[in-house]
Amino acid sequence: MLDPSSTSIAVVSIATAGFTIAIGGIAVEVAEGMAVKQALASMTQQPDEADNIRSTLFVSIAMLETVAIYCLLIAMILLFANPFWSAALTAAGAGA
Amino acid sequence: MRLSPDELLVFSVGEVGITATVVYTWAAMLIALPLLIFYRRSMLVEVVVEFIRGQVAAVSGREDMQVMTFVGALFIFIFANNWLVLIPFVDPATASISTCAALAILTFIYGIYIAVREVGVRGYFRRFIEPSAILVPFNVLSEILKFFSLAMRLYGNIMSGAFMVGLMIVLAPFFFPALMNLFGLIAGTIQPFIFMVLATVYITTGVEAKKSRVSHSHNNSQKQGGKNARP
Repeated sequence: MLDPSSTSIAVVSIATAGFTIAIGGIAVEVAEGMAVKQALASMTQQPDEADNIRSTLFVSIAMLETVAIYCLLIAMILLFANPFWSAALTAAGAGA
Repeated sequence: MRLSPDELLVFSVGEVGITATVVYTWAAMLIALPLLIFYRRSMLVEVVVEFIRGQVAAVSGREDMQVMTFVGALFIFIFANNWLVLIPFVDPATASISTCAALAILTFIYGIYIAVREVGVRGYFRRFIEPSAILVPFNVLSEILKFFSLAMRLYGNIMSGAFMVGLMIVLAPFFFPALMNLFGLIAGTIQPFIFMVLATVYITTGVEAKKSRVSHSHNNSQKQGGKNARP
């Protein structure tokens, strides 16, 4: 049986991981959608410049995607490599 | 479930442990190098080299064979590593943070080398006190964070692909892992390109800005030459 402090660490970690992905995902998806929409509009207006626009679009989408990747990394650290959770487990093991 | 190929120790030489990451990197090099050497006169390799050359010229605005060789090697290395997912039970070595960090550190050192070669040591450090000396901490921080995000972007993209495949094998083992691997291949094709373009930008930006102020006309003619030389 887990003591209350360990349980609260687990609850807060899982909830924060979910919120991290959700909020970070919303912001990045909206930004990427705007970028792609503008790029498609420009491509239909100037088909000659399509290659240039496409490569710039890839790079800028990757830059935007970085924030989502940070969110993913933080969520995965919270879920699978949580330092506070490990400390609580060690303390519980030492206490038992 | 393994989070990264770093955690799997294949064998150890004395004190040094050889992890799966190192073995997968060797595998990618063993596949990519002979292909490139034996087929160096073929159409396909020519297309790849021409693509890298065009992109570097378009991004940096000049034809620098040295920079092109470096970022082209980065491109081919990351590409070969990412496509290792085609081999069963093998994770791409770029799904480990150590590989990506090593590539980013290499880019950082090479950027310093190019900047010192083109504008000198003083020119390189002058980059940090522009536009004002108060901003030195922020400039240093942004310089470090550029390469940190370069490593994290590659690692996060490839690792999340490999991780999703691992998750799907547990949840729905027959059809969906293959589909996720397909997505992984798309990301594995886009990511080397993005790493190459960003590395070119980071290596050449400060150098270009400095050059254009010192000899404007010379730089302009070089830029136009680069554009005209594009196919």
